[in-house]
Amino acid sequence: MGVLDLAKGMGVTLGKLFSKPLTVSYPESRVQLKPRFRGRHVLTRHPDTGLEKCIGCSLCAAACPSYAIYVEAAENDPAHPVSPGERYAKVYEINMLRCIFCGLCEEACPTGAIILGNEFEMADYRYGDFVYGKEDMLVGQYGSRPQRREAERQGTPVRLGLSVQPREELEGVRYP
Amino acid sequence: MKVFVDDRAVEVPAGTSAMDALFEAGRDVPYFCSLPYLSPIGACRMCLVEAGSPRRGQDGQWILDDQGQPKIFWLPKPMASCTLAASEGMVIRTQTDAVRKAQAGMVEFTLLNHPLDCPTCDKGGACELQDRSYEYGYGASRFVFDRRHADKHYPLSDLVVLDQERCIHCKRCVRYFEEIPGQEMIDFIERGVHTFIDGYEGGLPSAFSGNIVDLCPVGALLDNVARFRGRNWEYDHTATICTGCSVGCSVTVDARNGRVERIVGRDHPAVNERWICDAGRFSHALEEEGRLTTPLLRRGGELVPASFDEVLAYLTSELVDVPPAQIGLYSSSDITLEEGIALEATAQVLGSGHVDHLPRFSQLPALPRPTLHQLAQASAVVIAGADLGAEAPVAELRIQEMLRGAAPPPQFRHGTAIADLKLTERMERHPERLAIFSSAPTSLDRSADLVVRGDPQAALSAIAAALEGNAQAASPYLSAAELLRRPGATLVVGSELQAAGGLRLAEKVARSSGAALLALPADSNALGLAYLRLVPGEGGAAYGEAILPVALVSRCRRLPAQWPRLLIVHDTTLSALAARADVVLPAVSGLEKQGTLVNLEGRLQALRPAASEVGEATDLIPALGLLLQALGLRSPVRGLISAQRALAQRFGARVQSLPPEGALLDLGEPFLAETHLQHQPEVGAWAAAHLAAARARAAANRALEVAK
Ligand code: SF4
Ligand code: SF4
Ligand code: SF4
Ligand code: SF4
Ligand code: FES
Repeated sequence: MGVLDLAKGMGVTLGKLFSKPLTVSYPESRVQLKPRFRGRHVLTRHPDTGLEKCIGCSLCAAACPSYAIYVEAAENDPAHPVSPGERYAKVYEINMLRCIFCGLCEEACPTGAIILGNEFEMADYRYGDFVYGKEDMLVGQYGSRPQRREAERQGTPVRLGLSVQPREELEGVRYP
Repeated sequence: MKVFVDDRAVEVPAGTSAMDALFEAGRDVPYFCSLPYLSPIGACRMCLVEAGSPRRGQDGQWILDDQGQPKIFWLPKPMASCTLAASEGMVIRTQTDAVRKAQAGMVEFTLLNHPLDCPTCDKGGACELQDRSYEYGYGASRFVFDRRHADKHYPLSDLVVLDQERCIHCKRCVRYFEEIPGQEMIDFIERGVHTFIDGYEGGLPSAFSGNIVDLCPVGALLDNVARFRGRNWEYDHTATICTGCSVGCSVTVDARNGRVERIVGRDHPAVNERWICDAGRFSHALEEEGRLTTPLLRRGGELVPASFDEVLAYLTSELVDVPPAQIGLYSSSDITLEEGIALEATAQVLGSGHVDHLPRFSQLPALPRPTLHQLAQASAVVIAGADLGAEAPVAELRIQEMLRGAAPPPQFRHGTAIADLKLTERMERHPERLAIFSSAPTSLDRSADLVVRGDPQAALSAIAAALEGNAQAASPYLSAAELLRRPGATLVVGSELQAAGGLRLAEKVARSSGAALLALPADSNALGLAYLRLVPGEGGAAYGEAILPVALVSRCRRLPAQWPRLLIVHDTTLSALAARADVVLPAVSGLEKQGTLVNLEGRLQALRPAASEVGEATDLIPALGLLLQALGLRSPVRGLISAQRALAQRFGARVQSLPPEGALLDLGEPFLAETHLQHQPEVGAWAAAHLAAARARAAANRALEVAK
């Protein structure tokens, strides 16, 4: 290796010193995600009626390669239906530690109920806290469990460390 | 008879349908309406094949073609193979383009008005329509118009729910009710595309209504107790037998998340064919209510949860001064042979004669037992003092089979004949072949020409007199004697007669008439336990006959006449007896244990545990072990393996490797003893309680959601 090569290398380094940095100082500033980034699941609702789209069919659980999903169905009360039709998910749980965010549940779902959203900040302390239920995933719920816990403790709104233009399937989801 | 299927040749007996011939040849056709044990009617038109046969000329020789081979005269159109009889030299084609097109076209027709609710349909994943559409359909529909709409989730009864949109009009359910239990209950209403299934206002008043859920090829008829409890692929399936009564029907128990959700019938051609009774099917709902999962110990007058160690310490201190020979051991008669031999060994170790099982009768017949198959093929049946609906429900179906006079369907390599051409709709029944003598109405009364109310023992005496040539006997007894004299007749006696000690009389009648004698055992394993020494020994007391210092009572609900001073109860729930116990040990139910049972034919069948969560509940063997440990004693039978070894020594059979259909074995000489406890057939009450629980659970499934 000659002096010339060395100088070339130093030139690249020097050049970078004067260009705009790519680093995002997360979490102080938000990361800009691509819309197709697959993060924490969202259970969507029919926008007109507000009924849950999920009919508790368990096909997502059958498709899930890591057995992360558990669904227990029940019959709708016709007077106060939870979802359109006869059946709804009484229990809907995803173990976020097992989930590999492959999106196969989303592909299996016949009603477009389960969509992988863009939130990804779910680090927590106890195994049990990673099992997300309907109350954690229904559309309208922002932030992961630890984020909501933290926000409640501090009395501030949930702050997500991301910004993205959500995909259109994520009906009703707006990330700040 | 030789039949050619595609390029394969098979030998089948005369009278075989083309469908069974081609399955025998290892080929496959789709079908919706045919079903083993039901008549083939050609309703669904799915099983289309091309077929042709050679013909004989006037000289009786085959008509030959140009090559000198028998000329095949092809039928002009594809034929439904289920209703087409195979004939000598017939050629069947299942793989041609014309056949594929015809079958795919039928799939498309069947799906024209089908709602495709698969995601919410409880049949999804085990649906014959899904499978056939996938295998044989075009994969797309060209139907762009509005589909027919009809009633959805319409309860036919508390236990069965109907979705009229999903019905594909195969008529299996209609034929089932007419042909099997002989109770016409539902039918098609309207015509053409408007056809729908409906029944009476009052639900499905049959003790066998649940079978239509198994046989419906689609999700039109569904189990309301298991409604939405799980998808078919999520269940853990366990092939076992029902312990509800002494028939011992083959069932599959489906559990999810440690909870038994449903029970479906399993084909056993010799025992239950493929049918089970509603009590057996929906029984699991009751088994779960108030289940005990830990031992309970009486402290300060209250039963409180305790650990096995605490129970052991308590028993050790309480039993210090108790002579082991004074300890009583009593069990219900639905325990397995393994538990039974452990009980026998424990009694021997204790040196106690205070041992018994109940319910049981004082005697066993000394005549060979007929099998259920022989019962179904009997020329006539006389029933004395038995209500089959309460004692052995599925045996009632075998008697209905006898009344139809159908030969048993042939068996092939693919199993029971799918389309047995001997069976037809509305076969003539022969009520004159059945006579019933009992003091209370029985479920079979509707099917018998001769029904006599009154003491069955007096009736048998009169029949015996008639058999001895006493022409003075009243005419019903003469006709019954006539029936019994027919070659191949069977006399069936049940609890009313046996509890009153009428078995010897029945034996006499059977001997002098030459009829076979079927004595219904008192419980699901009462027959097997008779071959173990589980009756009071020398100086031993029957249940509740003496005040004992200590007694262990397993799964008996009956309250004793005399209470022991220290009562240990082994049961699944806190029964009235358990509520008065000093120690309660949690027990597993018949769905949850492993072992061997002997049914009313003397058939040893294997019981396998369903995948349900039972906590610390155990079968009887560990409960006995705990008692012995507290006394510082040790039994040679301490677990399943040693019990199996002991059984092998006793009966010379390895019960752990019984064939799937069970085994009819000679178990040697029974141990008999008089019993004075009057036995009421419990299956009737049991069925009522179980069905009530099943209804409550189905209603709770709904009410829970209303409350939300
Ligand atoms: S999310 Fe979709 S696939 Fe999963 S249970 Fe609900 S409807 Fe079925
Ligand atoms: S009956 Fe079969 S094809 Fe029809 S909706 Fe149910 S699962 Fe789907
Ligand atoms: S309800 Fe089921 S079994 Fe009865 S005709 Fe319809 S599809 Fe066939
Ligand atoms: S007939 Fe007896 S063994 Fe058969 S399902 Fe009914 S209760 Fe169970
Ligand atoms: S027509 Fe239905 S099976 Fe043959």
